[in-house]
Amino acid sequence: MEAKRAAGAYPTALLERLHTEFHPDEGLEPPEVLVLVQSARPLRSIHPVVGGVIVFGKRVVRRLLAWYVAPIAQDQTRFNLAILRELRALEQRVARLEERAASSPEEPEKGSRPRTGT
Amino acid sequence: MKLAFVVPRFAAGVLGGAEYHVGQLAGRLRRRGHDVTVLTTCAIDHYTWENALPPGPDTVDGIPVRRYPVTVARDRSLMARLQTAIDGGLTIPPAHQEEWVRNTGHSEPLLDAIAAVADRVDALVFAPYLFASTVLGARVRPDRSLIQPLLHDEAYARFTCVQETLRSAAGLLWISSGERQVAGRLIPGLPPGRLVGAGIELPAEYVDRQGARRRHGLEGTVVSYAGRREEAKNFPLVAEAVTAANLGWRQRVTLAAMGAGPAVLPPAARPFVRDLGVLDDDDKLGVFAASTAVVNLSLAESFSYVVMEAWSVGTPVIVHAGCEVTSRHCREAGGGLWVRNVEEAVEAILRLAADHALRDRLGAAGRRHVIQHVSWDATLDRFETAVAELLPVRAG
Repeated sequence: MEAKRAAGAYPTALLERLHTEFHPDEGLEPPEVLVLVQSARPLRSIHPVVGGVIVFGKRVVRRLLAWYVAPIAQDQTRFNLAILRELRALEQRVARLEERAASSPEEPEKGSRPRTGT
Repeated sequence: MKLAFVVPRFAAGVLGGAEYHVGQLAGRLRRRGHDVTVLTTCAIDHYTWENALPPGPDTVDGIPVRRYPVTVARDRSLMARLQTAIDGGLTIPPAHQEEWVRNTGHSEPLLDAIAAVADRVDALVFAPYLFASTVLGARVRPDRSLIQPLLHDEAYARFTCVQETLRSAAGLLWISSGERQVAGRLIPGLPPGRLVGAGIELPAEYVDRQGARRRHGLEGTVVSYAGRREEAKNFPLVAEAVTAANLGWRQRVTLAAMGAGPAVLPPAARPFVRDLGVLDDDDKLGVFAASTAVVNLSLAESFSYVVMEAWSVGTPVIVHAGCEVTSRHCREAGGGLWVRNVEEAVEAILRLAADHALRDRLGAAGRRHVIQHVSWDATLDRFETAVAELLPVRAG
């Protein structure tokens, strides 16, 4: 493989792509943008002739079920908001504690008991 | 002076404090002999940002206007997701903050027009701080840009892109000392600014309060509200206070609610609210004068014309203690009471209804404040001085 590479058997662009660091999370949206759970999605059909009828049928079903589905989506959105607010508050608290620990590494944490080892 | 105002919307019938303020300022500066043009988008609706008016030159109340089409269509799904996070108290990442701004009527031709006129005017004046026309527009030539933020304490004022634009402007024009204080607290490193204020036309000494009561069938203790009847302005809280006064305190109080759009009310509040819709200025002032107090519990204020209009006819106001701008007005003028919750709002209404001497004393103090501090002549003088001081050398 090394020999092939040295001989120029692989295109340079391909090698550059293969050597790109692997980031599985890249492109994921931040959780703040994913908080809202939308119960209504865009409706479409892959059938060219009867597609319009199918989309209309789906729209009717969606309208009929909205009274049941929409409140569940709203509850989930509220939960997402609540949990994310708590998460961000914890994140800030950890950051503050880390900052404090970094600025005074020798100072014992306020309220902690003195160590009384034997 | 040659001035170009840049606003997101500008047309007859567009309701909103910022639009009203810029219309007044631009029109009065023009009547003073200044060369004033307004650059804006073709949009009217600040939710859809659809191009509703034709592009090109127009005239609104004698002011020359040039309209440019909105070129970035609103991504409704993205905006719904971002708005949910913002309204839910979360901070969206800076890249999404910029996306949010780009979805508020962004017009690329407007940016080109700003670049083209920048060297031909004494100042580009942007208002209000929030929308694409200001956040992106003032970045085109920050050295020629003055921003009148009309800002209050809200999530958008914490957006990184918004703060960067405000910091990069040549200067800021504040409409109230409260606004300047809020901005200083939220945004460090602001450029120099001047307190310009705003003005109102003082009505005649006599306002027909009995006529207003007769015309609108108002009886007994009346408090009034004027403006957008929506949650963002805390209108439901005003309706709740009036409902509580009637049902909890067993006192008959009617809320005269003025403004555009339907007043969405809970069923319990409906018997106590009279929806008067949009009234002309004289009629509105008549209702204010006939009221025990004008109630404005909004936290989202940078000036509040309503408070000044109430004072202009000698009516005290009841405002939210959490609003730095309106509660500061009340402290400075002595023209009203500030409350922290519904219970205090009810007590304030009933106190003013029972104690006419107190009501009249507060109202008179408010009117004195308006006469002394809230005139258009003084505002225009301060505006001219501010432009000359903040942009002393005309480029080009």
